[in-house]
Amino acid sequence: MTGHTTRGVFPSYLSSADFYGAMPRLFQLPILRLFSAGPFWVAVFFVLSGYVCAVKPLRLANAGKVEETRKTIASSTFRRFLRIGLPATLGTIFCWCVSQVGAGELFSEFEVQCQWTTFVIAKRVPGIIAPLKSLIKHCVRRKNEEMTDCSSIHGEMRKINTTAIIGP
Amino acid sequence: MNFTATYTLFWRRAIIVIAALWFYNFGHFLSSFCFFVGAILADFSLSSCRPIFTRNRLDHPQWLNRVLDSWPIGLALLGLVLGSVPPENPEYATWSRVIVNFFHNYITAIKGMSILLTKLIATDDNDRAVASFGAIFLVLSILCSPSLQRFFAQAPFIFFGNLSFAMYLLHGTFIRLPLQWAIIHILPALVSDAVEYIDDGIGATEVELICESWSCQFALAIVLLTWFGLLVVSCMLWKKYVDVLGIQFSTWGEQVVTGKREVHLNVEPLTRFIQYFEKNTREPWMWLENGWTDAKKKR
Repeated sequence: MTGHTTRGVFPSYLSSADFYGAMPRLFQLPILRLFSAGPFWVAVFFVLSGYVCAVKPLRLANAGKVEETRKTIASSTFRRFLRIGLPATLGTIFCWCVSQVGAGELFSEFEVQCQWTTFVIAKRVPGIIAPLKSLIKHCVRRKNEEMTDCSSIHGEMRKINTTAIIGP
Repeated sequence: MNFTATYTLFWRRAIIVIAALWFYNFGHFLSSFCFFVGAILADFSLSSCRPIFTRNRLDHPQWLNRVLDSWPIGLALLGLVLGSVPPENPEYATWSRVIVNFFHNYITAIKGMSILLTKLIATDDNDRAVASFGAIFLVLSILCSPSLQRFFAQAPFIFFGNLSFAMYLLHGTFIRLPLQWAIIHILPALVSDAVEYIDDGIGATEVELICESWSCQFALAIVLLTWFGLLVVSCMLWKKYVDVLGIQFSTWGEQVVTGKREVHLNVEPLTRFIQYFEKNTREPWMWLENGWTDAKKKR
């Protein structure tokens, strides 16, 4: 969140300095720069996801409880998809409703200059079938650039596939 | 599926490590490589975290024991510094330039120490590689340090951790609507030197945030804090009323697929449709080719 806000409002803090050899600003210094370091915190999330998904099955597998291990993996894998997918879909529907009522028209004459090209909200899609197709497309595609980031569904599917195939 | 559950401890660990290295080279760097390293760390946490050189504490002087006990904090600092490397223009500052060059030459590039494995280690996502290693070091240090665990178990971290998923879903919309509206309409009304309007010549006006005076920066800070408070409140409401639906839905779904809950489907409308379809389409291929109307005419 802070990374996207920085990209939209303070794009100069995405670099380690304003130009080559310049004195870094306060929030361009190491560790303080973490406030806007998006990739780092996303990586922390994925490492913690792997830890959380694996620790209980590994504990059961190390104890020799094979059936409980398989049940735990199956249960967590199945429930994780529904647990993550439903709120993400509802979030996309919420954003779709906001854009369909014309929220994108509020700033049609403006475009805030920033480095985040998806800063502008999606425009209203006229008609009946076309907006629904747009909604379905944004719910299932990997990255929708104009609505809420539904890549969580794709990321969760990737994690589910890898967990189910490999183990523990 | 789940075949490694019956394997021995050694081979299970070996497969997880092989999977992590495979995804390091061929898969999506963040979601796959970091995920499997998390699994490795889970296995690591179930065993002893104490390194070999700290086991014989009585043989070492007390100052050395204190230094050796602090190694997770040093690793955490290293991880935070690696995570601070910016994705854009890291060559502008010396500290980031040194780190990126080191990774490019020895970790992720196809030259240097990795020349023997030229075909295996090759990624153009260097900035995310640096951030990923920083994240791994940070999580590893937390696992091995009770003091870091106590620090990150404090209320503010728990609070924002609970809101993290809701914030992930809502922050995009909140940046695109309330924050953009505040920058375009509220901030210029508070201070005169907040934004600059640039006509791009193709019908749109670009708004550039300038805000060089102290008064403008103070106003911008107030706007951002207010916006952030609004986002946090929305995330709390989302977590309370929407995330609960996801938990209930997942529980219900698991009970259905495992047979613990019966679902009575009203299939009568579907049955009626199928019967009507079979009755009125003697030549289904004609319906597929010419449409429903032509099939009825043929009859």
